[in-house]
Amino acid sequence: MIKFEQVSKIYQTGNIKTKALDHVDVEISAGDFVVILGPSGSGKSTMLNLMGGLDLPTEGNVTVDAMPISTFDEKKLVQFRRKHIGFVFQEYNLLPTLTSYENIDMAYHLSDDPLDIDTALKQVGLTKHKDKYPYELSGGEQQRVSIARALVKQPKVLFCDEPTGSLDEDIAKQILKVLQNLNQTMKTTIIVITHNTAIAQIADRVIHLNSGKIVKDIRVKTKVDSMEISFSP
Amino acid sequence: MIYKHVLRTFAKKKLTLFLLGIVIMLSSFVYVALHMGAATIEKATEAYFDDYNQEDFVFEMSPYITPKEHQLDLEHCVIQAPTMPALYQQDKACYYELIDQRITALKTLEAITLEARFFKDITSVQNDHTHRFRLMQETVAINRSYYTQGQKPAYENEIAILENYANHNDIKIGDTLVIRGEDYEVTGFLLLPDYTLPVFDHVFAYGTESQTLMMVHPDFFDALSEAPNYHLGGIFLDEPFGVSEFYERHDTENYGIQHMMLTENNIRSGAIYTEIQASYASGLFISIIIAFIGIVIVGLMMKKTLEQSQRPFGILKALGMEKKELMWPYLTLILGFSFLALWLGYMIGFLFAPILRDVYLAFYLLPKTDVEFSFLALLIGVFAPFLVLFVMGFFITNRLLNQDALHMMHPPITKMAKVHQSRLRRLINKLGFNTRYQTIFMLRHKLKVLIYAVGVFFAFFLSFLALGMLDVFEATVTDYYDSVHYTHIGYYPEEAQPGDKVIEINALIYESPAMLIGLSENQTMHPLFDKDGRDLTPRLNEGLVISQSFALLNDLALNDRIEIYLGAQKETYTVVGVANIYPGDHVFTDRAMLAKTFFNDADYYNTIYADYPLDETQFQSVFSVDTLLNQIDDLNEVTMQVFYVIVLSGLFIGLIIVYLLSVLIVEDHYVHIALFKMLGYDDQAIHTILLGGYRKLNIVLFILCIPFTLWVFVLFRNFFAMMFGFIFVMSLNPLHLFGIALLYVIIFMVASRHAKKKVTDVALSVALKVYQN
Repeated sequence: MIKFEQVSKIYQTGNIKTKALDHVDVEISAGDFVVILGPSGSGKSTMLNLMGGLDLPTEGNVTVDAMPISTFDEKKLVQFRRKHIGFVFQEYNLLPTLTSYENIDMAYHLSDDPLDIDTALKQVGLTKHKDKYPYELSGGEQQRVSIARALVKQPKVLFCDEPTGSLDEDIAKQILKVLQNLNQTMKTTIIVITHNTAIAQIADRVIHLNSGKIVKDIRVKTKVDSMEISFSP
Repeated sequence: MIYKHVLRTFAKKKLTLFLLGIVIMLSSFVYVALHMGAATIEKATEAYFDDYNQEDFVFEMSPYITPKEHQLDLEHCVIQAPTMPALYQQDKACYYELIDQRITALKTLEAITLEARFFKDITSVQNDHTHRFRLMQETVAINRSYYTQGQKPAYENEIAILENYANHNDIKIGDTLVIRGEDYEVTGFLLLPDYTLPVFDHVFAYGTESQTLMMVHPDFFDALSEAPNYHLGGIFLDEPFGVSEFYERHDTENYGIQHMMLTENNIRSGAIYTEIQASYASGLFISIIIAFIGIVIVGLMMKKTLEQSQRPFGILKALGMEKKELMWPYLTLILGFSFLALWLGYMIGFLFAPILRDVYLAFYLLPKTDVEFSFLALLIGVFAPFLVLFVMGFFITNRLLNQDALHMMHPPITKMAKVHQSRLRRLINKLGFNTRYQTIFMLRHKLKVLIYAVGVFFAFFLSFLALGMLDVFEATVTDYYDSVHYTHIGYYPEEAQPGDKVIEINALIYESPAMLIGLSENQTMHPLFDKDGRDLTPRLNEGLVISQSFALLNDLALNDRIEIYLGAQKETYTVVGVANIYPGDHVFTDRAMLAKTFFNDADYYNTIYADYPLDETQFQSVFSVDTLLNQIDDLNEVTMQVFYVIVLSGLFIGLIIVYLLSVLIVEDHYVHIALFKMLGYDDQAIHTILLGGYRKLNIVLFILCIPFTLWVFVLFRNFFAMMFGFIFVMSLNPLHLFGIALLYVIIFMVASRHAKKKVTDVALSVALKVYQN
């Protein structure tokens, strides 16, 4: 499904070069729930950006669903994101001037085979709040809108960048539950990046990153329901 | 440290600041240039009028001798001639004694002093062209001549002329002019306070290419066989009085007065007063518009820049920095920059003022002085806008920095007004996807959209206004003369000539000096139609047909009754038509009726309108419409130099505003653009959703601005009608509109492309990080 071959990413600011990813090789199968773990600056977000076609590698090849996206120009990347990818961010990235329904509608319009908006809202348990603006919703509710916006396109892969980073434990678990349900019911490949090791318990596979390199890659044998995990060590 | 941060923030906005600087500079420049140009003329003119005793009013005198005057017991003669010219030919001493008698009698009526200005109009062929000379004699007390170079003629073969005429015809002091076969040496260049415009017979014939005032020695003046004309220049010795007051208090019939005119209403001597007032007013008006727009844009940019520094300021505030420590670096730099721009505008305006002064002097006959420092121009052009910018800057920074540190570090999400109005909601939901979200984005950014709309509307208006000025002369004077069928006008024919017989005479109509024109019912040379295209000539014998300018000037309409004074004789007529012509305060009536009423002779006429060249020897004077039009073209060319500066300034400011606002809206949507890209929208779709609404708004504003501008043109037209007595017809040329539209489309595209490039240039992941932070 997703394949990294010797992928490196170097950011340059003035004369300073920062190696965010260093010759990474990894392959992720369709339908997997993958958690990428690592401390701040380990290269998690860079990896997600490259997988999702938000950025291009400095070296190496990135293939998603047999598409060599690392060779794509901006126009092709846009089409790729439009058809195959959904994103969920830590800070929700909702348009503050649009209601929940309208935020989801922005993504609905892009898909050739979208999920019904009301169904998407039902999936994330927000049917009652569809006419509310982001500022009228709690952090967890906003994140649910963000997930609904991503899933309405029925993406092949859903990338989540610290989706629970701004939420308290109870709300965070509910969000993870939503993601788990999506993975199970809709067979959507979900890739979550986080520094919260507790979240690893709900994944099929956990990839540990540090200093731009994969330091550990574990397939989880016994998955735990998100409501049963504990964020406390 | 804070200064460094502010400087770096400004450095990122170099182009925006540069363009803002130009807007601020132009607001100061336009005001200073127009004000100082006019102020220089005004100061020199006032001193000149005081020193050389300009008349306060004039009595234009009738050529007829009144019945009472025929019975006068004069010392040297018995008056038998019917007219003054006839008396002059019979007995010069008697002619002058009668005029003295008239002056003496008039001086007993009011606290005034009077002096006659005698002149004779002659034509002379110079360099194969017919030139018109108004030969004059020196006065003693009122309207004394001022020699800018050389001296007054001391001998019979010496003359002094206008410097403008000399320059046009390459004549130097000491050169010789041949007049009627005799050589005359030019001894000086003169100015006369009663002739600030060399208006001879026709109000629009004041160009100095082919006509000049000419001071001559009394012997030369007397040697010419023609009888002189004269008017009486007067000075109030006590409280000034109005024309109607004078007519009410005295029976002017006995004194040969054709009409009285105050200098301020006299185009020959007083047009400069209204010209200067108009220049001050238009300078102030245009610069207020520009300054208003400039200040709104500066305020907007200031707010935007400060908002971008909100987080770092929040951190600094949290660290313990005081509000004033954060505020003053911003204020100092932005106000320092604004002051520099205003000062630059002042300096350029100061340098441009002499050009404007020379435009005045190209057709006004006034002394030339250097442009001097003006505290008022500095105050209004520099310090007043600076004060407004200071107060606005203080208000914006103070308001922003008054928030607590936490609030600044984590600004809350913008709250939106709820759209619960179900009807509007349903209406919006019925729209297509693009239009729906264009509408939603516009409705939910009301303030930003309002500011954008006001700025763009003013930009369009400024451009329309600027281009509307371009065709002023064509639409007023030139169009009028293009519409008439005569090519030549001959005044006071010696004998009957082919052509339309007309009476043209100055009269006091509805208390305003106007040209009363008597046309025959079968005339063909002067079409008279109202705005609906109805021929008004058949109605002339029912009353008066007035021009648009006269109707506007005096607030007159159909069926109004108006009084006409011709000398002492007063008649009342009904307005039976308003002719669709603009220049001049023209009033028309039936020639036979006019001749019978005022001249006791139904066949009387004094003018011929002809569509062939008239023999100049057969008339007192002859005008060629072509010469008149050429003269207007020359005048237009000179005036356009000033207009071009205003037009280009207006257009340039308009374009800058649209550019800045377009950049601003794209920058405002910076994170939206990044988010849309993340979702999978391509550039075209993002452009359509986020900027499409503004594009449509631009079209709506453009269309709305057209009737608004036309309405302002009507206000201008009325203003100029009141000030000058003829109408400036400002119009919107469809070709200009198309040009402006094209220009603005290009600017909008360039600006949005330029701003969007910032998003394209930054990696999407970085842009989204900005959003998240």
